[in-house]
Amino acid sequence: MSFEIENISYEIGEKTLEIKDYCQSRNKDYSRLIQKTGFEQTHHTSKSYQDFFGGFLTNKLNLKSNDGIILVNQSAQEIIPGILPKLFLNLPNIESITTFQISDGCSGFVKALILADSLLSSANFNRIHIICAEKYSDYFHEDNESLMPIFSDAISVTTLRKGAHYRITSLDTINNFIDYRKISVDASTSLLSMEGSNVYGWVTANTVPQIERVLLENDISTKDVKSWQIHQASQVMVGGILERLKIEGEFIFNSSKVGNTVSSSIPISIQNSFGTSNDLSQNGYHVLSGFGVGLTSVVAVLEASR
Amino acid sequence: MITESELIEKLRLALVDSNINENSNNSNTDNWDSLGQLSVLATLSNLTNKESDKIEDLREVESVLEIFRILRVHNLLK
Repeated sequence: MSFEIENISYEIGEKTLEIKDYCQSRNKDYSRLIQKTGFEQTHHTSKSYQDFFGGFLTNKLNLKSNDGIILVNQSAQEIIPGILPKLFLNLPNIESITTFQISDGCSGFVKALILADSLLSSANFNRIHIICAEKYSDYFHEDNESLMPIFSDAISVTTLRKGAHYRITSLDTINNFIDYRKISVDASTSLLSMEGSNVYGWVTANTVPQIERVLLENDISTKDVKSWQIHQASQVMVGGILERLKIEGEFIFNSSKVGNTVSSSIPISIQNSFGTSNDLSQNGYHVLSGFGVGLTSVVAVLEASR
Repeated sequence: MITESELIEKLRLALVDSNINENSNNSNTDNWDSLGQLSVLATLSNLTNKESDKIEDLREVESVLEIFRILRVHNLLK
């Protein structure tokens, strides 16, 4: 089936952390850190889920009949009834909207896109809103020098509608659940830990061959790919993937002022790529790659044509 | 296949430390922290034409001697 992207909007946490200042206050070498992560700023919110995410949705989301919502979220602590009713409580017209939730991290947007594409092929939905909302800052302290300069709190809404512009031509998933602890919240401390070099190693060993395989199976060369929408984990991660794929692209890592926003990173990057050489609206093939928590890596190829 | 001396030269560049030698490890090398580890992995990948990407033991390697040993086991070091 096929779809159009009607709109992408997003908001990042209201408190901006300048990585240079953060490092200097701790006598750390900021240039080395920024060179590796690529992040000059991260953004966190001190607001509650309902205030930050719910407030954004109330302002931005204009629901109509035959709309559906997919919420991608992992960090909310509510168990029953979950975070979804609290976030959507004040949305006009929510009473008749079918909602879905995906509990996933950095690969969540790509999975939601696949689900949205399927839903839009039915008669039940005219539009699907993919909402990615994560507040990882609940799970690390300000003095965590590994995570504070990487993760940002953010929410994004990507609205898709029935249309003929984009078609998902292929999809591939790799799960390595035995290593789920490599990015996880410890139940006893409620603190997030990430084994960066292990995740980097796993991604380079798995995601790169995965992308190569998907392209090969579809008889697509890297030169045929118009844009690379790669999870903005860090500059060293995105750069490592591109280097191995032998791709040059100065616009592909574009989150230096945004930070790693987990599931929102791909939609935010897409939005910020419009008008650059990595523009998703160009006719041709586009590779979307989300990886991380799970450990999971999901690759989808979109074909755009007008 | 690379040699020990070639590898040490590349590790000096990766860790921005001209004193790296076969006795270096993440305890006696300031820049061999979590960021330095990523540089080490990227360097090994480049030197081995991506073969080292598949070696899980390298992801947590903590010393030059350990790198030597693991690469030798996988026939990637002379």
